[in-house]
Amino acid sequence: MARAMKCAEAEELIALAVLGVLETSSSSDIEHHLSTCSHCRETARAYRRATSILPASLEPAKPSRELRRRIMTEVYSSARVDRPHRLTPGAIWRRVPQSRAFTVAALATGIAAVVLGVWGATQTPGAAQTFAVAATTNQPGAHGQLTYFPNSARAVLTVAGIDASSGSNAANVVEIWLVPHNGAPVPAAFLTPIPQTSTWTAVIAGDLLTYKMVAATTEPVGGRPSPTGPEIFSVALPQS
Amino acid sequence: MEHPEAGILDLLAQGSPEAIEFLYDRYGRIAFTVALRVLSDHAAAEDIVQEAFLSIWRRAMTYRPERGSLRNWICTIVRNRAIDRLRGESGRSRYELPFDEKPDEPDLSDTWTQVAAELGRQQIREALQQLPLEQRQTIELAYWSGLSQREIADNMRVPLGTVKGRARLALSKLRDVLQEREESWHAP
Repeated sequence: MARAMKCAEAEELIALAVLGVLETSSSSDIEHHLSTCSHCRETARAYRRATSILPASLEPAKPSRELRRRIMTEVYSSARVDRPHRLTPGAIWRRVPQSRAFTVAALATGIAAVVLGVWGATQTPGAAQTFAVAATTNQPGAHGQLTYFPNSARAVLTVAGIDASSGSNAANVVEIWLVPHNGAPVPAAFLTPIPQTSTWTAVIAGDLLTYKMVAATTEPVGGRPSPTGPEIFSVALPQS
Repeated sequence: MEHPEAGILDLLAQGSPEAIEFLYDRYGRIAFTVALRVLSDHAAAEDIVQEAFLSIWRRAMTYRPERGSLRNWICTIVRNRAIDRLRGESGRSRYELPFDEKPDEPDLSDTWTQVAAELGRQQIREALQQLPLEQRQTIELAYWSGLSQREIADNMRVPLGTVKGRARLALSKLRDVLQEREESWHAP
């Protein structure tokens, strides 16, 4: 049975617990106290926060580049295995026409694909690049960032501070455009809200560094082949 | 308060490899710093960081995007794994308090993320330097060494009650410094 304790004693045990050194023999006493004392629950929360700054006091150390390559190789390899829509070698084989000429050609293609696949899996992915979202007068509170992953030619756009009524009602969506240096904007994605947050996100595919900027407009549901609504934010891209 | 990394959390929950790449580029260095502080061994620290990020990657489908403070979450995972490695087979089990948030999940809610981000290394060191030496040594031994409370008492040649008192006083003072910082954040 849990023993009753006063707040002063409880605070000592809370301090030990958040530092990771409280012995399990004290666990029922402190849990019982916390279940009945809001003051100590708040203390526990504050002590956890205080403890969380300790890593930032350390002099930063640098891991080897090899570590990044090891992690990413395993992550991308398992992603390929886990994603059912990607073609497996067996699936590729079943699609090969069963004539000798096609089989020889397919074999050569397959070997090349395997070589390229192994090469791709063992290369260190390029470093991600992050660019800031710039608000417009239509949505002055818009802010966020676009993170571009060169190796996969994909970007993650995260935006907050936009007026949801302009993008989430029945009449409108927020459409993302890739704006080339010359020519018309290309439709790239739709911004979608993240549940229980006021943040919106989109994944954009393409070699972004060949474009001038990314821009967003409000458009009727379903989007449009070219922008018709007001621009609500943009992201300037560097010259490649 | 919206979480500035919510988009990445969402992608992580969807199992996007780009999300873990982004997280490593942003937090890999602090994660390695934490592991190296505990283990004092470069190769072992890298192993722990690799295990931790692959663990995050494999648990991504159960991740809740509405919860944040990724940096603290990652540092906690790395530190716990590093201390487990340090303790080895004879290690004791770690007791964690039943907070509102699970200890292994992020704490996101208010201005804390901004306050923590605003504090630079020098400011945190200054806050720690304000603590009496014996209090600072107590929390650093407890947090980084993997020693038990009794081992800390033996190491510092003080009674167990003194270790408890010093830990409470140290965290109480750090809390006050951080609350002061948080209030200044709210000030106009």
